Amino acid sequence: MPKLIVDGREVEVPTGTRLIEACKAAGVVVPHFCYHPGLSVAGNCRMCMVEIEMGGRSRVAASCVEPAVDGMTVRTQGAEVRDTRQGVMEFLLLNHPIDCPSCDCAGECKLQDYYMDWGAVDTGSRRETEPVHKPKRQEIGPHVMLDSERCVLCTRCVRFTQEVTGTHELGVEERGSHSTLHLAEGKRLDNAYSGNVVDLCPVGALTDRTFRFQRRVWFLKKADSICPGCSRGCNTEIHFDEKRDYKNERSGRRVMRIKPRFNAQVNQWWLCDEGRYGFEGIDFGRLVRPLILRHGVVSPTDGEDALAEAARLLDDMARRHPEQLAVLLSPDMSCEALLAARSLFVDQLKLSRVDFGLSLDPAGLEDGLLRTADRHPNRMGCELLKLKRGAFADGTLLDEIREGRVKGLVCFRWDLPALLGEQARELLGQLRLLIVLTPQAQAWGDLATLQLPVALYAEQDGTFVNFQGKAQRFHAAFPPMGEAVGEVDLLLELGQRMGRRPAQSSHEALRKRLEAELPQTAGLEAPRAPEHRVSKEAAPR
Amino acid sequence: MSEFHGVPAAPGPRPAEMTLSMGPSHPTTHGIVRLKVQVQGEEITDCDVEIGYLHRGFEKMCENHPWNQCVVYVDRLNYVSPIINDVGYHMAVEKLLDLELPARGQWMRMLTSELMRVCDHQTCLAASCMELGAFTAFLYLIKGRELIWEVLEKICGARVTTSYTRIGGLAYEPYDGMAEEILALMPDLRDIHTEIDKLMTDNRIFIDRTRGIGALDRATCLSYGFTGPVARAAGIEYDVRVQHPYMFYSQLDFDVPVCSSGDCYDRYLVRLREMEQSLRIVEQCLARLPRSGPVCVEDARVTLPAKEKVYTRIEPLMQHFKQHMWGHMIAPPAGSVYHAVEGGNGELGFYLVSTGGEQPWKVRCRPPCFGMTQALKEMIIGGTIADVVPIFGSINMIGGELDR
Repeated sequence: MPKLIVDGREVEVPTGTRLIEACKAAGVVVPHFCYHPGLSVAGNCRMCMVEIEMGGRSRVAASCVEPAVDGMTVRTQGAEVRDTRQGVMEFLLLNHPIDCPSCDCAGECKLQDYYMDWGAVDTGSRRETEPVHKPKRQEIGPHVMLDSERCVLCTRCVRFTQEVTGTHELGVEERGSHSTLHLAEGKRLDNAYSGNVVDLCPVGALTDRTFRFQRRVWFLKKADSICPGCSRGCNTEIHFDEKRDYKNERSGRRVMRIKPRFNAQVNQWWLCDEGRYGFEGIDFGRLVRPLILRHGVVSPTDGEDALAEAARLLDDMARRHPEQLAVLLSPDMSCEALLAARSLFVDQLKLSRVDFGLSLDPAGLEDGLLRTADRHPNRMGCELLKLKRGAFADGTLLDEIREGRVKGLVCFRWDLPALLGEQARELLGQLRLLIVLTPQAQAWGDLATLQLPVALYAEQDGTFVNFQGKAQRFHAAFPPMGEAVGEVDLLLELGQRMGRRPAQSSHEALRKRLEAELPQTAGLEAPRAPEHRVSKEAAPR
Repeated sequence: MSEFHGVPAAPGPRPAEMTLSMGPSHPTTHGIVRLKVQVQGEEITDCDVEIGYLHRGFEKMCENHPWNQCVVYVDRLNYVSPIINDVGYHMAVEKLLDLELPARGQWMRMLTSELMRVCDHQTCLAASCMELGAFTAFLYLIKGRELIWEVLEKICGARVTTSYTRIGGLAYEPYDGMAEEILALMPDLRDIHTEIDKLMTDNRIFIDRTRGIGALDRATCLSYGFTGPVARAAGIEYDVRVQHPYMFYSQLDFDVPVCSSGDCYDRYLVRLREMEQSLRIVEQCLARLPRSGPVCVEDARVTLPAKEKVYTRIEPLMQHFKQHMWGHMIAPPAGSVYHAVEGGNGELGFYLVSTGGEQPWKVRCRPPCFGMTQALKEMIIGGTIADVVPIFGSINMIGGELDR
C-alpha cells in the first residue's frame, strides 16, 4: 500500500489509486473538469495538475492519470501549480461565451468557482481575435439542451453515453479550437438516462430543459429523499423553493428539480429520467381537502368532520361486520405507515382482509442499469412486515365485492380506475362504504364515501426497503399541501377516535417497533433536514 | 416653588401640577421622542423620556442580509451624516477581513466624512436656532448644506441615502473636477458660517435662551457616556480622530474645540468652531488626495470589476457573479471586532460578530446620541418648558441613530 505525503499530510492508499483520489483521501479536493470516478479517465482538461516530487526531482502532472507511488510528495498549492491552473483556465475561458446572466449553471459552475479559487486572473485582454462561435441552444433530446459554445470539451458526457448507457449519442467533431460537442449522425439524446449528462456537465453546456429558466440555483433548498418510482430506491435530492411562488405565476409549484445522491450500492451517481423528471404529481393534481359524499352529493369538508365520519363509519362496520371490511394498503407507503396501518387494522380491529395489493402494471421493465420491473418503492417493506399480497392481483377481491361478501373498502393510495379498469366502476358502486386515502385527486371520486388527502413521500419522513433488502430513510422537504396529512398521523388519529389504543401511539414508538421488527431499519443515518439557502453559515460557539 | 432664574418665588398658592406630553410629534423638538413632563406652571418637576418611535430593527435586518447589503441600513442610522456611518461600518468589516484600502480611497472617505460632519452640524445648528425663533440662521445654514449636498450628490449619487462605501473601497470614483468644485465652495461656506457667528454668538436673545441652560457637570457627563461636541462642550477632551486615530487623521493639522461649562451655548459654540476645523481637514485632504489610482482594494473577492469589463469579458462577469450569489459571497472569518469613528454626535462604534457566514451574526451600533438623550431628563428637570427647546436642540438627537 503506497504511502505518500499530500500537502504535508501523510496518507496511505491502495495500490493503483490515482493521485486525485489519494489527495481526496488526504482531505484535499483537487480541481478538475474531465475526471469522474464513475467514468474512465480521459485526462484532457489538465486542471487537476499537481506538483509531484519523487527522488529529488519534481514535475507537474495530471493527478487523475498518475497512480499514487510510495514515497511521493504531492503539492496541490504553490506558485508552480497556481501558474499551471491559471494557464489552463485561460485556455478554457478564451472562447467561452459571456452567458452567465442567462445560463442556468450560474451558481454551480466549475468555471466560476475555479476562477475565483485560483487567483481570479483576468487574461481576457490577451485575446487578439474574435472568439470561436459554435451552435447554441440545441434541443438534442426530450430532456436536454446543448450549448456547444459553453462546452469545455471534458467529454464526460461522451464517456457516459459510451460506457454507462452504451448508446453512443454524443461525440466531439473537428479539431483544435473548433472542436465541438455534437450528436452522432441521425441520433437524438433520448436514452432512459439522458438527464445524467446534465449532472456530469461541469458548465452550462448541457442543461435540463424542464428546469430551464425556472429558478436560480442559489434559491434552492435541498432535502434528502428516495425516488418512489421503482423498487431500486435510488437516492435523490429534492431541490425546491417554496418562497417564490410569484416567479411561477402563483401556480403552487414547490419542487424545481430532482438530483441523484451518490450511493455506492444502490444507484452510484445516476438516476433514470422517469425518476428525475416525474415530479409533477408532487405539486399538481393533488387532493387538498377532504371530500365527503352526503345525500348523493360530493362536497368538500374540513378535517375534523372527515375524520369523525371516517372513524364512525369504520368503527361501525368493524364492530358489526368485520368480515365484510377490506383494507387495501399500498407498496407506495413507508414502513412506518404500513406498521401503523397493520397495527390499527390487523391488531386492533382484527380484520382479515388486509393486503397490499400489487400492481398489474405491465409497463415496468428491468433494464439492467437502475430500473426494476416493480414500480413501487416498498414492496419489500410490505413483505417484511408480513402483510398479505395480491387480493386485487388475482381478482379475488373483485369477486368478493361482486358476490356481496365485501361491502366496505378502505383504499390507500391506489389510483383505482388505473388499477382496476373501467369495468370495475360499477362494482365499486355496489359498496356500502368506500374510503379512499390518496394524495392525488381521483377520477372516481363520486363513488367514494370519503376521500381523505394524504401527504406524499416528499412531505413526510419515512423508510422504504428496496428490492435488495436495503432500508433507506427519506426526509420531508416541505409540509403537506393544503389539508393533506401524513398517513401515520392519520392512522394514529383514527385509532384514537375509534377508541382503540394501539401499542404504538406516537411516531417515536412506531419507529422503535419498526427497528425492533426490521433490524435493517435500525442504525440508519438520519437523513439531513432541508438545507438552508445560505450555506456558509455556522452557529455560534 | 423654588427661586427661578434669580427671581424669588411669588407669594400665593402654588399652581397645580399637570402632566403634559411633548412629542412624539412637536413643532419645536425636531426628531421623534416623547417627553412626558410633569409641570407646575412653567417649571418641569419631573420628566419621562420615551424613545423607540423610530426603531426599525436595524440589527435584525443586518442579520438577514449579506455583509455588503447592510450599508443601506447603516446609511439610515444618523441620516444627517450618512457617509460617516458608512465609513464606520465598513472600516469594522475591513478590520474583520484584514483589508486596507489604497490611499486614494482612504482620503476620499475622510474627505466625504468631514463634509458630512459639516452638514450634520449645519443641520443641528439650523434647527436649534430656528426653534428659538432665529429663522434666518436656519435658512442660511440650510443653504450651506445644499452647497455641500450638491457636490456629494455628484460624488455618490445621493444627498441623504448615500451608500457610498463598500467592503474594501468605495462605490464610485471621484469625478473629474471634484477637487476644484469643493475648493470653490470653501469661501461660500466660510461666509455662511461667519454670518451665523455674527448673528448668533453675541446675540442677546440667543445668549439668554442658552447660557447656563442644560449643563451637567463633567463627572455626570462621563458617567452617561457623553462623547462628541456635547462632551467637548463640558470640557471632556475626547475626539476619536485624535485619541484613536484612523485612516490618515494623525497626519493632519486640525484643532478640537473644547469649552468648559457644557451648557447649550457652549455646545453651539463647539459645533460652530468644529465646522471650520472640518473645512480645514477637507482642504488638506484635497491637497493630498492622489489624482489617480484605485479607490478600492485589489481583491477579487470584495471589489467589483468595472462594468465595461463585466459586459464584455467572461472573467470579470464570473467574478461579478461570484460576489453576488448566495452561497458564494464574501464571508469574513469567525470573530468579533469593534471599531469606532468620530460621528457628528460623538463616538460612533460598530461591534460586529461574524460566525464565518455570508451574513453577520450581529451588527451592533453604538449610538453617540444615546447617552445624551438618556441624560435629557436630568437636564430639563428644574427648568421651564421653554428651556426644553434649546436643550433638546443642543444634544442633536437623531432618531435613526438613537432608536436604530
